[in-house]
Amino acid sequence: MRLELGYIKVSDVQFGAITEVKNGVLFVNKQEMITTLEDERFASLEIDLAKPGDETRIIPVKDVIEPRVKVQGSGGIFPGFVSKVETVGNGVTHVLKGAAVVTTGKIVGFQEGIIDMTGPGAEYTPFSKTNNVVVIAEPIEGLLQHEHEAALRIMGLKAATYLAEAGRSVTPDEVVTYDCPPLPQALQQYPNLPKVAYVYMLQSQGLLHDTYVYGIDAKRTLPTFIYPTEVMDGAIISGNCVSACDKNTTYHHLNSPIIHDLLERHGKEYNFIGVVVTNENVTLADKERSSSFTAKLVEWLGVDAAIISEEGFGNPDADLMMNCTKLEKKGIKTVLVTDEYAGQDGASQSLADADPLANAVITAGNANEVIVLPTMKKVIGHPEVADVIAGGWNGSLAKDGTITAEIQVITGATNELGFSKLTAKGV
Amino acid sequence: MRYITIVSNNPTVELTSTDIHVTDYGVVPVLERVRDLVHLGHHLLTHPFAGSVKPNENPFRSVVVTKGDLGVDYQSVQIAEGCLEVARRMVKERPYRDFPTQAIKDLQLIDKSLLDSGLESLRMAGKL
Repeated sequence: MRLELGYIKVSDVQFGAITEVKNGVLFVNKQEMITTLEDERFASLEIDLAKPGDETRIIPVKDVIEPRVKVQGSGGIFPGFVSKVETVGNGVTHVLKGAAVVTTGKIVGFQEGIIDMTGPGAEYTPFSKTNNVVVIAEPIEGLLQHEHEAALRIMGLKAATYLAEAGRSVTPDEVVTYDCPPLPQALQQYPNLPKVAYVYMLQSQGLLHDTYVYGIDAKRTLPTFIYPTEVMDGAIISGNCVSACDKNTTYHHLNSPIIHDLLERHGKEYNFIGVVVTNENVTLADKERSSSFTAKLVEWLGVDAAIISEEGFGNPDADLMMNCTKLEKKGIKTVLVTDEYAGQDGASQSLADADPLANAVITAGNANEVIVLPTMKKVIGHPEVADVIAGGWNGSLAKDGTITAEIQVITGATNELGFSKLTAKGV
Repeated sequence: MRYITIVSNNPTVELTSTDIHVTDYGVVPVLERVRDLVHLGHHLLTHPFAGSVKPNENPFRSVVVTKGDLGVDYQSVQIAEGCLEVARRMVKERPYRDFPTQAIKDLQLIDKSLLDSGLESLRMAGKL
């Protein structure tokens, strides 16, 4: 599997007569975009723009999606939703790097996030640095939450696909090629380097807690292999309304830093063999089955070590520990990537589950840290949600519009794929 | 024939006579009841924590255990005790806020939908 990603750099977004990319500016024909997206499940549909440095707050954020278009190769972007269910991950894909679609909607008020385009909150989200085309869709009366989620999820994917078409014929500013050979070849490469696999845990616990792989709800699948380049073509889609800080948006999946870093250091520090996608479950029997399958598949790959990333907190900590301990007991070293709910002072136990075999853990930050988000000149969405959003409390939203809350409220603040700027320094 | 017991304080969950309706507000009383049951030989069927919802964010909780004494399962005891400890700590540190009516409905919906997801899986496994 060989994929060329052609990055078209987008440094600005503006409304214009034609949807096109010209000299690094993404112009959007607003009316055409609205007409393309119209859906009878929504009573109103509006498009707005939010750029880096704007005094703008987007709340509540449902998903963020990067515009990508397949230029060559089998299948199309977001297989199973926008394109047919055909294997992706090979050929050429163009990326509008620097642009993003943000969907907003009050699905279940307490489970969506905030993006501030400037100020202290902007430092915690990568989406303050992207030129955002915001889709504001208000549902018709009586639309159930899960129907609203599904409709808005697909609308976001369609919006990204519509914008990405503008980049189909544009010559990319940068091209990066990823080669992922079949297993027998991969195993023979770099015999002196340690062989490493990646276990990619996907939130999949039920209604409004789901992630999709090629259009299927991940909890309805057994753990399986996937090429890293398939993920870059949108094979994994976020469909969940979990805490904003550690939800993997579709943008995160497309740009997973774990996958990109593993590929970048492949052949230098280690031999990156492959990815196992697995789910996170409600019942203990399902957790046992999935973690046993995951351990078996990773063992099958014949690797020395595995990186395991989690999505969420609490219940999925059990899946994380089961994946870790079952691999360690097979003699496969593990490194876990998670985030912490260690209390506002950071002094409490970070995870809801633990095991002595989990002896190498990377934290993406403490979601309970408190931040004050100052008033913004413009708010896109529903500011009143701040009072019920996960990570806020009674009175989080002050009369002047200031929000005092835990960084948990910020989309991507403690992303467990490591897509953030948070770091730790020795003192 | 149902082989399960649902322990819940969520008024939108339909309970049978063999389920346990917890009337106290908050996750901790539900998890205390679950903890007591696993020490009496019930086995956990669903994880005491819901989805990615923190115990101090949603006061409504439904957990499924086996019906009757099957002999103490130490994994169930470990998980139930561990979750109770974390829940107590988190609720103490940041108690529940006063939720508006719509938020209460959303919170109940999330708990119920996660329970339903677990029940569907248990149904396939022939547990109910």
